[in-house]
Amino acid sequence: MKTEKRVKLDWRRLFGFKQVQSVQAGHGTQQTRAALAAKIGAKPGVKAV
Amino acid sequence: MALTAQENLHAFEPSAERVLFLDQRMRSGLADSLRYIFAQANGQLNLPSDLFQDFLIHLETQPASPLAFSFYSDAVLAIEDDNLEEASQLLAELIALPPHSGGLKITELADPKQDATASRFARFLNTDPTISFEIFAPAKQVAANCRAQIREAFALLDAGDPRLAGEIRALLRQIILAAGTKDPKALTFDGASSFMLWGAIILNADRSDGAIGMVQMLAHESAHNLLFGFSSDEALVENSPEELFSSPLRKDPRPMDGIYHATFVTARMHRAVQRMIESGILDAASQDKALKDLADNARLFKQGIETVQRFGKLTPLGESVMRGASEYMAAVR
Repeated sequence: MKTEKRVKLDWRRLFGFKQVQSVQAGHGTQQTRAALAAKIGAKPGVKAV
Repeated sequence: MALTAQENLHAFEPSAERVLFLDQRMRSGLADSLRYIFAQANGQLNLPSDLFQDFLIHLETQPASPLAFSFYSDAVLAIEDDNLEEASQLLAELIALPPHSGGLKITELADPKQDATASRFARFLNTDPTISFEIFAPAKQVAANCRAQIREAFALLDAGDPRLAGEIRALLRQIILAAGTKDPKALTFDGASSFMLWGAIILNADRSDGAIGMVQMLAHESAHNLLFGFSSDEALVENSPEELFSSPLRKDPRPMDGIYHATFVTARMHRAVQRMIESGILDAASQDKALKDLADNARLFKQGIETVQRFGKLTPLGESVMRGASEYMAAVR
């Protein structure tokens, strides 16, 4: 059963999260984390050893 | 300090004054959002109001630890999970962070399995769900060698490109030296930075490409931070994170935001090497490496900009920032 969140945040007002607000609606936190990673997350320079 | 955007805010040329403005804007944006969260919580977060308000005043007026941004990010996601106990704990740790004295600090990563701060740095640099790489504490001698390389690189930058040296010192609060895996089948990392660790870069201290390589590493990672500062309020690209493209700097396909970053930072690396060569301060061996790296950077930029131009849905900000890089690369061809 879906319950109301106790604290509601409008991501349009949140520093750093504005860029990913389009993915917030209807998505869970895992998707949100993935979107954050893609848009504003880490930029690692990785390579095979 | 008054928050007034300077002219040419998105110019390609380095500027220490410009990044001081960006740092102020990042900290003000963070403080505004924390105020908003506190108001929305309406007493449901277990935080001492007086200490919280004091922290916000310090945040707006003084340099801040890169960790501040990571605690905020975790707290927002905890609130999204309706876990107000965890959010309260994270915000309590945020406001208890010791003040940053300003300037650039070089530190060594502790063992992420033993140390909460090291674990936090490692987690924020390992956010991509499609890849994973291990981060360890560096061996003492490896870290000492890397510190020497950083000193040599800054000496080269001070002599050959003082504007970039000034921008890097104003932009970065912390260089964290770390180590990667030596497992031949695993991914490892050269360097990394993260929006939610504003002002920090993490370097794989086990390096063998000398001071000219470190000049480029500093130019590369600081340029990621510069782009984070530009994009504090709006995205650089509008492509979906699910759309993946060939990257000039990585073997795995990346979202357009990553391609955009890689392309821009390659132009910044090219510029740094070009200045080193033009200044005449390199010894013969470094000069040879610089000339090779210059050609590599030009080739990689060409690959990246072709992908950006063909597939990128750039915002006006993204267009403006990349225009400077493209004009620079066109001028030096």
